[in-house]
Amino acid sequence: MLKLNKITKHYKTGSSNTYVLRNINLEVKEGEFVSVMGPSGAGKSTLLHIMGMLDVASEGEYYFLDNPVHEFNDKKRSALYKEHLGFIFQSYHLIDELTVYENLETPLLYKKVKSSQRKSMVCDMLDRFQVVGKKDLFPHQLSGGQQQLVGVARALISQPKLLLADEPTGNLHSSQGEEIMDWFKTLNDEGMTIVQVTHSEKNAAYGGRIIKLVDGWIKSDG
Amino acid sequence: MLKSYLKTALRNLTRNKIHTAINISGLAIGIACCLLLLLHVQNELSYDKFHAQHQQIYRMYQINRDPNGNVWTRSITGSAPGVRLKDDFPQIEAVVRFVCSRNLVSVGDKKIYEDRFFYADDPVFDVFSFKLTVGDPSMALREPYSIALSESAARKYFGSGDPMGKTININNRADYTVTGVFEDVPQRSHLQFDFLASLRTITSSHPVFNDDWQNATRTYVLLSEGADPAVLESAMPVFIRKYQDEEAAASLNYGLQPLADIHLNPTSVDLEGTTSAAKLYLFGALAVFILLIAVINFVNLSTAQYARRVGEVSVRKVLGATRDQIRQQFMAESMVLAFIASALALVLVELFLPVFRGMIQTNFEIHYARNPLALIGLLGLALLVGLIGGFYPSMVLSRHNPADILRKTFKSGRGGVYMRRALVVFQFAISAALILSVLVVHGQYSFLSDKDLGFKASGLVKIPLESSMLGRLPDMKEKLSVLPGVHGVTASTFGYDYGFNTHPQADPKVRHLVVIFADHDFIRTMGLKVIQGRDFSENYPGDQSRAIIFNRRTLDVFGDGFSVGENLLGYQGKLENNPPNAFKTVVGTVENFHFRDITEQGLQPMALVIDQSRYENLLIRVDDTGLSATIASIGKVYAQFFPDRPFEFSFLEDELQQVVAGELRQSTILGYSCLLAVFVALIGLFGLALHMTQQRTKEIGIRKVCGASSHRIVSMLTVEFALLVIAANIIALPVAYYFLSEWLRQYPNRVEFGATYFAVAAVACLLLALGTVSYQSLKAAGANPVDALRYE
Ligand SMILES: Nc1ncnc2c1ncn2[C@@H]1O[C@H](COP(=O)(O)OP(=O)(O)OP(=O)(O)O)[C@@H](O)[C@H]1O
Ligand SMILES: [Mg+2]
Repeated sequence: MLKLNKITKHYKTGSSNTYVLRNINLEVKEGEFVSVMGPSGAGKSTLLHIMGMLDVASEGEYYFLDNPVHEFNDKKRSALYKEHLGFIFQSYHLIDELTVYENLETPLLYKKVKSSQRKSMVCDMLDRFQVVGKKDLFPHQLSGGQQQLVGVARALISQPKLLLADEPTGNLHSSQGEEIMDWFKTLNDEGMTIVQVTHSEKNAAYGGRIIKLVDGWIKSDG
Repeated sequence: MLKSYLKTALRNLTRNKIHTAINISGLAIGIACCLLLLLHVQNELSYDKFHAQHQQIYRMYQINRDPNGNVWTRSITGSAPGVRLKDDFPQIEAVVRFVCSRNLVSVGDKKIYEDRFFYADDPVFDVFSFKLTVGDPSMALREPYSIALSESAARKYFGSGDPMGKTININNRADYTVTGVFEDVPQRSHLQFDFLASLRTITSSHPVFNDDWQNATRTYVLLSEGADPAVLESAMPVFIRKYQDEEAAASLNYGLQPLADIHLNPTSVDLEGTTSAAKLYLFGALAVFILLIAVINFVNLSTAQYARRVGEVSVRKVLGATRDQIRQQFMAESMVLAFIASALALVLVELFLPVFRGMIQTNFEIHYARNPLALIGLLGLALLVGLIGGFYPSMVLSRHNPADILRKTFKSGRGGVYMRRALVVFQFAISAALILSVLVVHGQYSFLSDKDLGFKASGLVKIPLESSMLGRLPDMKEKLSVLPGVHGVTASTFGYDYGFNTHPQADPKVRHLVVIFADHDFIRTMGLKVIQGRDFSENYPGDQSRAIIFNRRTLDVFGDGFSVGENLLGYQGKLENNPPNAFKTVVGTVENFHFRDITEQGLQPMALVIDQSRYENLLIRVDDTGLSATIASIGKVYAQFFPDRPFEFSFLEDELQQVVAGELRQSTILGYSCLLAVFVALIGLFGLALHMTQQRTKEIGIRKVCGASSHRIVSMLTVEFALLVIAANIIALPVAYYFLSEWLRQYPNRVEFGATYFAVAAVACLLLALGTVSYQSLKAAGANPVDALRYE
């Protein structure tokens, strides 16, 4: 599915470079459920963003579905991204001004999906995640767990091949977190490839593979 | 997609009610000002275009050249060229001459002096599109003593009766027959009249009128289609030489001005209702400034919300939005706001149209349905404002890298802050400059109205005279001067431009001066101060035809012929075109005085000459006490001499003040603009201050918990704004000083604007800004810190 080759990420701080990721070599196969762990500041989010094409690596090669992403320009990257990726965040990042329904609809609007089709896709998602009754509410009218459910639904609505989640349960009570993780499990069983960042061993155990990141190095993988 | 953009736009607008109110009200004010201005300009540009043949009609203007090479133009020509042009030039289809005169119109018991009275050549209704509602356009003014009336004049004199064929008596001398009624002359005509009499009335009784090359006639020509006015202009010297001797022809030429150009490019001695393009530019600049300040509010308040919006933008990008789509979204928001503001602007325009009409002194109407420009202008302004307002935020926000916001460590950038500060400085620079301008302009006008005119204007009663009255004038003067309460009586003219040739043989230099024809009593009655030589005197019979008295200014300006400041007494010169053309000898010099109007551009060299055949008004110096009794007795004397004429009088002082009042009215436009600009800038500042204190609520709470006094917190919040406003003043005031000095230069007498003016402008600006900001900061400083922290 994706392959990272000698990926390095550094930021210019003053005259020297601060390295966030160093020489990352990594391959994720279709259907895998990978958990990335490591101390704060290790570069987990950065790695996820690079995989998610929200950020570009300073050096190295990145192949996604055999596309050389590192050679792509902005436009091509976002086209690829739009087609195949879904993102979930710790702080949900729903759009405050939009209702649940409209939040779910937004990725489809950007993908230029037809109105009738949009409607049925959104309704399917609302139904699947059992938030039909909340469809006209605004994010601040929902609990954190409900918001994250909508976040998951929104990431899935464009039927991505790869789901990237950055501490999806970080802001949730354990029971709410479990619900989300159960969803991940179900999705993975259905064939969805998932890469999540987590601090919790318990959540990491949902996946089959754990990558430990320390100081920008991969310390262990497996 | 668009629906989604609009939906989020509206939700964002209702979410930030204060920001939205500030943006919309500011933009509405700016757009309303621009729209009014646009329509005003349109109205000004449409002058005289209602004439179907306006593109073929030209006004002939006279170009005079003196041997020194000075050239000056006047809108008035002689009446001779008009009669000869049509025969000499096949491309001239028709010539219409107008002579304006003030006449006493009587119908039955109604006797009224009418100013809007023209004599015109008979093709007037064929050439111009003044519509005759009754009568035959080609025949109406064919016969001498025929006259056409406007509908209002017809109503005024004949009520609902039919005026056709009725007689009107003019100046108690002749009866004219009404041969037509025309629609009231549109406001957008530089020619304004209610009475149009046949010019043949004059030419039939005074055939020499048609041979005059100097008189006060306005000549308009209708060229055949496609004829080039330049060709005609270039043929003028030959045309003139054909009828004039070499010397006269050398000093004279004619030019052609397209009819529609006259209103905005008046020539010297022009008709009323002309204005200048410069004034339009000024109005334009003011409207654009106000709009600019409003747009800056818009940009500032949008970028202030940057931190919140940047999160949304990142999420949208993560959800697949392209940069273009983000840009479109912010543009859509900006457009929604701009269009709401435009709708409000329409309401404002309707509300303020009457005020605006009063300020510009024209009576223009806005017909949205009939005037496509009104709607196009409004839409255009809305689009423009939307584009400008949306451009910066959409550029900045769309450029954002989504990965930044997704980090927990995200902090909103400082970049927008500098931009915001710069824009606030710009807004207040404009405001400060406008405040200073208002102070200086107002100062100048009040200075002018208080200024020493060089004579005592109060207590001078003015009675208009006509040539037919001049024969009985000496007797009436005598009667008037012995009335109780009367201290002096003098007859004179207004000032006219003349050439004055000091040494016709040795030095053929002609100099220009304004000549006032006046009698022996003028200097004494007016109270002018003689600084050299003497007043006119009965003891010198030669004064009648030979004496000339200069004003002080003449000494300065004619300095190249004499040495500056030299005593001019005894110098001789010839006054051009003033039969009997005798040499005049300078017998005295008087202190400068302002006779025609106070604001006169540059005090001109002026001369007094006696000429009993020309007087136009009688000035009577009266006592302040018992004024009404004095005027009643003056009226009685007048009635004895001129029983057929209504007694009309005015106070010279009022007339002089009227000119200033006109300019003052114009300066109120500046005042209002300043008010609006400052208001819009202040509400913008209010919005920013609100935003900043909201952003710093937590910081303020913590500071208070740590023991900071309210006083310290207020100053912490206000110092930044104070510095910005001071910076604005430092930038703006020197620039404003430069332009104001330039403006003042046109006035020979100008107000000194020193440090106090600057101080008042700067302090006013600062106080207004600080007042606005401290409301917010006092509220923040007074808030319970626990609330602020809990809120977080
Ligand atoms: N724009 C930037 N400029 C400089 N350094 C940055 C920038 N963005 C991130 N970093 C640094 O990169 C390092 C890794 O950040 P990252 O967010 O990937 O860590 P993380 O492993 O996700 O930590 P956490 O568990 O706290 O989320 C941090 O030390 C951070 O300070
Ligand atoms: Mg992280």
